Amino acid sequence: MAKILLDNVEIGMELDADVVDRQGRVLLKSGVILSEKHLRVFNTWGILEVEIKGDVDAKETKKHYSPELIEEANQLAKIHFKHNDLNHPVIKSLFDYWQNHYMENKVS
Amino acid sequence: MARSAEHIIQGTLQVASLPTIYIKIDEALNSANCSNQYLVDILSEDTALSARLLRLANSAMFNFPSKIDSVSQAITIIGTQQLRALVLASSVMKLFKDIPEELINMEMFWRHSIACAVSARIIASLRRAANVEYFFLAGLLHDIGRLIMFKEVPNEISTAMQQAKQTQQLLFKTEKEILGFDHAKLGGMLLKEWKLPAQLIDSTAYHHYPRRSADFKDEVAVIHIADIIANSLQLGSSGEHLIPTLDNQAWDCIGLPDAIVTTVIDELHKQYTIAVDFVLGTSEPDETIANSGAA
Repeated sequence: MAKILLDNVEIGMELDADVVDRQGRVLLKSGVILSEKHLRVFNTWGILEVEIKGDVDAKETKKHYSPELIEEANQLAKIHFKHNDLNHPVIKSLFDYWQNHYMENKVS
Repeated sequence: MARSAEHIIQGTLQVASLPTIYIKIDEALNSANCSNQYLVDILSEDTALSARLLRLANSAMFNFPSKIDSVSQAITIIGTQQLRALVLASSVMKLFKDIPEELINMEMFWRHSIACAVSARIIASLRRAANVEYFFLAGLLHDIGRLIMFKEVPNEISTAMQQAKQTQQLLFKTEKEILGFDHAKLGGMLLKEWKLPAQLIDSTAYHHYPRRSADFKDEVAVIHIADIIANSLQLGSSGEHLIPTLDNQAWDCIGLPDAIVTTVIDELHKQYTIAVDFVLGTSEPDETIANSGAA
């Protein structure tokens, strides 16, 4: 089971939980195999993420950086985010972005 | 003895009243029966701005098939809400154009504001908020208090920037230690004096502490998060070198899934350059500050 953003949902995936709107009304039942029409409906109703059956591979392809560069980027990112809770998922995403951006700039 | 926030704002108001061109445009756009011709008449007070609108409407950003040769047509192409943002941005830029480069690079300052403005508009759209352009305006203005500091108390803000760096403290907290108030408070006070809408005042005054807003907690939370995203992506800089603290409850109150932040980042990258062109007119470096006669 994986919760994924609508941008990453593909036709043929199977819902693992009911999709509900902001008022809690069920729009689509768990177990439905998604079609293009369903994705259009999600967009119309402002659905941003759904739960999908099975493992969904992370799409990102990680570049290979040297352990020294990773450590340097990690330490600097920790300083920049020192006033934030690194366990918060949003901060974690921004932290990862900052770190990757730093490493990309360093090697390019 | 350091100057009080009230004293600083009074000093600012003497040299930086909100340009009448913005007040007139805002009034016109808020009235039910505003014609394009009336907007054109107002804009004719500022020939540089009119010329800029024409260039914008003819730019690749709008990709219009034929040449736009009247300001009236340009307004139709650009849209009235965007017109309001552009007039306000160019008015504020003129007011704060002579800040020394040693203190802050103004292009970098505005780039940070634009990144915050675009992020705020994206988040507001995802929340299906009405008037998303208001969030864009709020993002553009959220750090205006720092411009007041650069102008009115340059030595103190310069000391604060050095001290914040040495101690790895957030700049707005160091400002408060040194001056007794931070840039957010100053910015909110100026916008209040300018009689801008309450949502814009609160978004500026409370962007580091969104829950302090009495009436616009959700709206201010959007600016709070947009500012953190803009800082994290290092798109421009308003002087802050660390990432401001995320208020977890502010994130919860905007009611979007955690993973949405990657969508906001992707979308920001798509819209950022266009927005920079739109606000700063990068192909015309001095255009935004060329005509200062409208104040």
